[in-house]
Amino acid sequence: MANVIQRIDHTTKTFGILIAMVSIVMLFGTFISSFFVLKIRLMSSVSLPGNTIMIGVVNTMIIIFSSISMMLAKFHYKNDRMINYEIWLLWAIMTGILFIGGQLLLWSELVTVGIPFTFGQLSDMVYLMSGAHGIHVIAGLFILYWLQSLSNELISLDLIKNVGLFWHFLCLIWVTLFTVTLV
Amino acid sequence: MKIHKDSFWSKHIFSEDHKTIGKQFFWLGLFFLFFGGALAMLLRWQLGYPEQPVPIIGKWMWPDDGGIINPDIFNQMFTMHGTIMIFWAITPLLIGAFGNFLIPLQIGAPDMAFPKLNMISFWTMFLASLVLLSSYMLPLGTASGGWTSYPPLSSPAGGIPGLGQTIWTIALILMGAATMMGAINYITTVVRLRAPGMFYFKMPLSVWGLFLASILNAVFVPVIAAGLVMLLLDQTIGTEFFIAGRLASGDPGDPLLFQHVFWIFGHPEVYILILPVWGITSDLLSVFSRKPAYGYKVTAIAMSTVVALSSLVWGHHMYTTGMSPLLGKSFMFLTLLISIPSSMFFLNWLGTLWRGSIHFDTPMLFSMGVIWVFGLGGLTGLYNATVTADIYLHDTMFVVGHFHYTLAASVMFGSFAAIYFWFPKMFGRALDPFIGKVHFWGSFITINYVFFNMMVTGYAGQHRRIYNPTEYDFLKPLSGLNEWITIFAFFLGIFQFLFLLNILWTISRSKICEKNPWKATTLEWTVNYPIPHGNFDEVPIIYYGPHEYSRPDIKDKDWLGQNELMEVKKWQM
Amino acid sequence: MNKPRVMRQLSNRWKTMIHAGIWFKDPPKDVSLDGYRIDSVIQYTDLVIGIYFGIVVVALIYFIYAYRSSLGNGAVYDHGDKKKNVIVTGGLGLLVFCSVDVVIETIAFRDLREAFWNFPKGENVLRIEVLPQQFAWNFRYAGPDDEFGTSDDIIPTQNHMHIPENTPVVVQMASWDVIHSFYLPNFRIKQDATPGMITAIWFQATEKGVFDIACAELCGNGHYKMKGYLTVESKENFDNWLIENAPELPDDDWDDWDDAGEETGIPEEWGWTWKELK
Repeated sequence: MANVIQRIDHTTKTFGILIAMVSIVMLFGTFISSFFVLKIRLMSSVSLPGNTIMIGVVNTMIIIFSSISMMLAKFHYKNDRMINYEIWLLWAIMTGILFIGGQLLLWSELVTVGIPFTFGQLSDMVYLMSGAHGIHVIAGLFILYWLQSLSNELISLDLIKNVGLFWHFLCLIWVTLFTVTLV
Repeated sequence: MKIHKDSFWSKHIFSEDHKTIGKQFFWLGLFFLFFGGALAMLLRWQLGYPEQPVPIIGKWMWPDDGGIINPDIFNQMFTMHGTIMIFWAITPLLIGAFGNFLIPLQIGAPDMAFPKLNMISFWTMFLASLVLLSSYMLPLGTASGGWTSYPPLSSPAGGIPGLGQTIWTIALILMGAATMMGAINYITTVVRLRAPGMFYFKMPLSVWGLFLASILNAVFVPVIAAGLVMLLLDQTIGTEFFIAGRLASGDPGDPLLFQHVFWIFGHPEVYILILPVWGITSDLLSVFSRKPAYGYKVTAIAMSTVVALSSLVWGHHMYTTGMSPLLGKSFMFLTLLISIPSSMFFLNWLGTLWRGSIHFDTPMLFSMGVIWVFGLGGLTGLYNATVTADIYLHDTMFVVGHFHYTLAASVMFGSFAAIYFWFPKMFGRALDPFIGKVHFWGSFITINYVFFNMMVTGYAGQHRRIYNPTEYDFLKPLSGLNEWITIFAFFLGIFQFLFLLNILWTISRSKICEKNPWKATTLEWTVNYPIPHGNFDEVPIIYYGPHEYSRPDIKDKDWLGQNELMEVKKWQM
Repeated sequence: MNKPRVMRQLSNRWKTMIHAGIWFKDPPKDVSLDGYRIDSVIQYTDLVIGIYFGIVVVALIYFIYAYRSSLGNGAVYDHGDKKKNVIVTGGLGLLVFCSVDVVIETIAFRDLREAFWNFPKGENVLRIEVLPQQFAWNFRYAGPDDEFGTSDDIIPTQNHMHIPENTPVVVQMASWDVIHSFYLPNFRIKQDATPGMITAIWFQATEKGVFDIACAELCGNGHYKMKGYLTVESKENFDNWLIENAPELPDDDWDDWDDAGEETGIPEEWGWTWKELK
């Protein structure tokens, strides 16, 4: 009966993460659809000033870079280059933190240009979506930090793959959310 | 096999053993079941004897009003009754307790896929319970916007004083987080940890039910979580996602958006609650008819079809909101489609009884009770699915009667059947059969009277959530019937105390019973009580489906365990 | 036989109690043109689900009787998963679907097309705007100029709505604060009134009388007494009533009118341009 694997292995964990990702997709899916429903109802769109869009674009670059760093870390681990692995993992964490900082900058810029929180439903949705995403990124950062603090014996390629999967997923969510806000 | 060394704390409180967590959910659910039930009794008192002082406890509970329940308290009570019964009684009892207890045991797994997540899930749920109960400490009382909690009423501008509504939202978000963690665990366990040979179509139908319910949980609880976060921001920070009209300070938001989000989750939630019952009933009917479940695969596939359809029908809760005709018609059509798979597995239940050898043990009585009450509850759904009939019946006691038939009567009977059936495995002792039978007949008669007549009052026009039906002339003729419903509801409540006494008495007094008292075939009956952490000494290998009863090719017994290798005798071949 | 008076009272009390507890309750008297449609679809559903549930109960009782284990017959080892069995179950499922669901659906769609979603148009249609608030009903009639939101609109006392007999009435509503639901049990209709959006319903009375208007959507602690009165009267009486309720103050005296409004809790200056229905 080789087709049934009864072990709590990394594939099982990957599966659990996939289910969690489905849940998170539904969460953000609801935010996105609510955003569009409100948009149709109010018959307007969020008019973000140019510099906030610029910050958003830079943040997007940063998180994509972070995602790529994670990919490179995995690549180096696979080829047994531990130093490079650690450097790229550190890059992923640092750029992740930078992304959070960038998002906070985006919020403060929004406040400065006169779109504070509770200004209107659509801008509130922008705050809410980026905030909810930010909480997930912070959670992801804790996981990355935990991975980084693990000793070499405890790390495995599967573990890095699982963490990486979640990290790429968060990147993808942000790209989607940012696109939605700009539409 | 890993040996678990446990201190008191890690064994009984922060246990990662799915059986202990299941029991924790069981006691939590049982507590809230009686709590919500007590609220129901008080609600019935007010509806049967409007604005009369509540006997015995009234003077003590509400001294300022002379023991009379006032409208504020009444609204708080039905809000908490609905919330508690759905999210804190049925969900923990069926999905929390039996989901945890049964899934690993029935599929032959050592534990859940993520034991630590399982433990966190329970304690998140516990925290959510504390948060919810803390709203009883608030000076202005608990939430009172109904379990649906539609904004703008549930936002501060809507006129509900105090923090109750906010606390309610926070508690529900926490509950949702706990449910999602549980769902991730259950799905992964079923998909990845089945014992060798336990194919999907060899799983007991209880596992099918719990598995499908978990899928719905994983997919649709996040939807309401998102809606509740938006509602929470409306309540606390001052956004206006769902606020319109006079109460909105800026551009109007969309109150209907919340209703859509709520029912996109809310309708699957109904199936989340009933799916485990369908599965459990299918299994138990087979056990006590000593006959394989009729059309096992059809039942499993029909249940999956209902799951798929359930995500497309939320609009039938919103026919009267001014929905576009095209949408209304589509929702009606999709809703009615559900009747095909439902009637198929319903017929399979009857097919299981047909030519069986029916033993009338307590779990069987409750399972056959499910056939009755779910039959009525399911069929009466037709009125509410019909757009025209629903224009009249929407938000009346008819709806209340209908969903109590499906959610209270069916689900409670299913839970009782499960508790009577698996009690010997959970606590090692069998519940007293005589008290069990009294409990069944008492509950069966009273529950039918109460919920059927709720539908009758609804048909006669009584709308729901009204404090005093005698305010209206057209409801005056119903006061006698309302009084009767209340009397029967009280008897229904009293019979539940028999059940509680039975549980407490059995746990404290009875002797440990045999390993497999019901002569059932599934894997959980192959292990001795107390089941060790890790469940099975060696990984069971599954050869047969879950319902091998009355096989003509074995002579000495009428059942064959899923992991028993049948002795093939020469002369039989 | 002369029973003591107390006994007689007791037994009468019992009779009424038992009567109240067992006999079916009729819905409120139907006084509308199309209410019978709803009653008839409900009665059809009653009938068919009565038959099907009856069959289920008979089967259940028969199985319990004929296959009880005490007979010692033993069970038949039958998985019921042969093609034949599946076809029979599926066929019965389809039969239920066709005889119940399809019929109900056809009736319902016909009724929606012919009545409930077929809004009447033309000269003799009475248009009313309804604005529920916590916890009262406000009504607005267009007045002589036949347009809403003008100063000659007729706003009767809160909670009192009058309509003429045998005239189609179209009601448009929007809520002032939270969600309410305009429920006329005698007309078998119900429509949610939501803040920020306009919803509509129509009905036609066939009998004179005073009927209840109830709020069917939870709207706060006063929900249960958010009650209005719908008076159906002859056309002449209705016209007189409109004249009686016409605003007395001249157009330029809005201020006084507003003050009066504040005192009685009636929202100031509500009303919207009639939303033409497609």
